[in-house]
Amino acid sequence: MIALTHDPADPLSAESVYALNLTVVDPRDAQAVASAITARHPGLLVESTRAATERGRGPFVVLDRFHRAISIVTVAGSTAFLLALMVMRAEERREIIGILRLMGIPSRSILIEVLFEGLLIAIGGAIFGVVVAVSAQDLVNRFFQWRYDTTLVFVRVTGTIVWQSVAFAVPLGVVAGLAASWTLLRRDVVSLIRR
Amino acid sequence: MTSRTLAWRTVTAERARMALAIAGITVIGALLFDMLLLSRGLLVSFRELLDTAGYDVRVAAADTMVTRGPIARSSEFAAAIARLPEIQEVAVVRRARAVLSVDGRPRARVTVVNVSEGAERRAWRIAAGAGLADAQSVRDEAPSLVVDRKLARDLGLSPGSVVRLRVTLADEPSALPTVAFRVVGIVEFEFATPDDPQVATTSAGFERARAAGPLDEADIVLVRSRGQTEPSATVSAIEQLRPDVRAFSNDQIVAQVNENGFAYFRQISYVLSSITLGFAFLLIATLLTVSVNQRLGQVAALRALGLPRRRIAAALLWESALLVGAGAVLSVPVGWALAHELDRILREMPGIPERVHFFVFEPCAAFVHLGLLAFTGITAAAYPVWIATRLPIAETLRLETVS
Repeated sequence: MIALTHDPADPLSAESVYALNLTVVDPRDAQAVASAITARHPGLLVESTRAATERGRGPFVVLDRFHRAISIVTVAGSTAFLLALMVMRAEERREIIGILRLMGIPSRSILIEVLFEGLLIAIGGAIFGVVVAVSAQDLVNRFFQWRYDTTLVFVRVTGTIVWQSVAFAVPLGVVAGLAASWTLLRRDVVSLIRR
Repeated sequence: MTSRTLAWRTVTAERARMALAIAGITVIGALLFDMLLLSRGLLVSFRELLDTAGYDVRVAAADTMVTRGPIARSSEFAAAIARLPEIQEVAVVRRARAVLSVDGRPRARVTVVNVSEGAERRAWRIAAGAGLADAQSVRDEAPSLVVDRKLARDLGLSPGSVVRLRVTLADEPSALPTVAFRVVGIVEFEFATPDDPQVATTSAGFERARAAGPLDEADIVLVRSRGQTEPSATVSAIEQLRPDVRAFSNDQIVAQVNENGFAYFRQISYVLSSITLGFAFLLIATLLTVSVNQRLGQVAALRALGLPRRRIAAALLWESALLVGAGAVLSVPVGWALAHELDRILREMPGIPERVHFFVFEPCAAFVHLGLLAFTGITAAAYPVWIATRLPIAETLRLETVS
């Protein structure tokens, strides 16, 4: 490589390199070593790989924030729809709930039943969502890898992301179900059976 | 009773449900609107930035404007360009990276800019103090410098302050001397970026900072075509002057950036727009289908009374139109407010000029948005309409009576 790039007009070119990589005995000393070299050779740019990585992460940190903001908006929109559907579903079962209450089943038991039902539906929905995301990630990666001619991975469904999604989806589903049913349970039994 | 009135009564009968459905469509519609703004926002904003700078052709010593090398013998070249009949104005721009230091303040990495005489008024706007041309008459040991407003605020600089600059050379070791400069003005640069503060000086100041004598190299040459001359004609004329440089019209630069730099945002906006539309379709279709299933008896009774199928279908379409229409109209202001927040997040990205925005309002985006939502509303109503118009009247009424 040195022979290939050697400039005969510049005797120093055979002795010049663009960068030197150092491994320090204790990684915690990287910044101190960089400062010491900078102090002795003012013309050199010396920095720890951690600092360089942090600097290079700038755009990705911003993109991460952007995607998080979009996901929050999506969650807000889907919560409104979920609530609308749950309200319709609760309304559909208005007479059944009225009859159950006339039979003497306490509101608390009905509410627990609704809670479990909501929990099951929410878990089912969350699992389905994760399956869709895992299936789609390969498609998205292949497209962007083809588009940018790179082997970089653009989408990776990690365990943390799965848990974050489930942690959002399940409580939302349960709360939406409970909120929709709560309005029915507070009503008079007679009005529930439309008498 | 008309189909529209029937739909209105059905929708307003369940106000909570209606409000939630409209809220959902508003939020999803807002996201769709934002993605439409994002799909072209950067290009529109970047194009506006290029156009307002006042030059329609840029010349560089590379095949792309993204990475470029220095243009040798730039003064002679600029003079040759200026003599072309198509040209009204030529500016030579030189840049260098430097470390700026002031007593008692942390050092700042800056870009030092030098533009040829007469081009200052297009490169920056003076916010306080004087410009370089005005200050040149003052005999001073320290060369004049104008600094970016944010940098001046961060370092407590004002006209009259003295700063020290040390130029650093890219890709080669350097130990250039520190040169003292006197700040003569606080300015707003046309292409300022928040993470890369800029300062500008005279040609003499620039040469002194580089300590290399008159190199006569330029980073870029900016050209303004005369009158009605097409930029493409100017590009051809310049490229004939010197084969080792490339000239680009603003259209070509925007196309290059669109192909390389901004493609990610265009693609992500297409992907998210498609997902959002699919999501809206599913949700509206589900809401209408559940709503129709709850009212099968009512629909069968209306049909039994002689209401034709098309009136039932029209009522359901109106129902969809009311929900989607209200949500769509509300989604434009909500989306615009959301776009401001998303724009603020994305503009934190390094290297983005302060005047460039990711979300730019265009009337056509609003029309496309409303059109897409209208289309979604109509297609989402198709299945519920099919259920309502095909249901067996007698059987449905019997089932309703038994239940």
